Amino acid sequence: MSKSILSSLLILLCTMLCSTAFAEISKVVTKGQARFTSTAPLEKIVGTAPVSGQFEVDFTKPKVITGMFEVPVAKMKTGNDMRDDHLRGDEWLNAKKCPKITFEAKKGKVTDFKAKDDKGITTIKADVEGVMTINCVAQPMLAKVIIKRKGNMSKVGSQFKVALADYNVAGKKGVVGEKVGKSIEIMLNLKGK
Amino acid sequence: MNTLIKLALVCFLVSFSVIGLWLSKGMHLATPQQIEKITKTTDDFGDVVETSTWVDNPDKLDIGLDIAGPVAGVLFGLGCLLIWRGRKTES
Repeated sequence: MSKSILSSLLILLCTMLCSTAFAEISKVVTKGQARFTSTAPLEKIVGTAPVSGQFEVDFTKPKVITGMFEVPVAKMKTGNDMRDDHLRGDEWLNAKKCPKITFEAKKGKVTDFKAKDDKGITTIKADVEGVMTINCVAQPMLAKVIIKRKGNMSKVGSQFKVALADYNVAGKKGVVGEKVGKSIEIMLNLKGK
Repeated sequence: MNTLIKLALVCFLVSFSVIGLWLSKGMHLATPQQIEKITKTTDDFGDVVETSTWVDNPDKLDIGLDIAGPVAGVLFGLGCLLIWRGRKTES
């Protein structure tokens, strides 16, 4: 009796060890572009910024997605030098004190997973929970993410909105809501190995 | 009509023309010094990817309210001043 319990425990232990050993967590370093859009009654502003980061995921059995992405505030562009300067100023993104906008992905809930299709592309769709830090204010955030992998190339895409008020971005009095949208739509596209 | 009043009318005309130009160019608050050029490419995954780059705006008349406002305002003010001076001279 005790032998059978012992052997069952051994089998269980082996199974656990094997599953851990065969988990192929890939670390992907990516670079790309963030495109942000502010829609307000008086003006629509479109801007871009370089974005870089890395994430970790098991492309064979995706369960956990973690990572870190960052955008240098100084490199954000909107097509007007004076507006870019204002954007970096104390009343907006405060680039001197908070030079980077970051998103730390802490866990991802996979909503759809397609292992290698006929073109050899693996696709993971996930709701990634993490912490977004803008203007040195950290807030929990959920982002819908699509990750694709072909060979050793990977890409990440995401689209989400951030409310300026959540990050204490007040701007000049009367500007937010009139000339700048209360929330900003952000689209990310990154690629890497 | 004396010369000062004629000059004032020119100032008003240019001022309204500047505002008209601003209205016709899309009423931007800030002058679009650079414009976004979107390049569409098909990546290794077969997806169409849009990449934005900023290029100098070739349309030098594409002005925002940051330029149109002060220019039109100064010209309008100058026109008013010239009318006042012109009428004073006439009388």
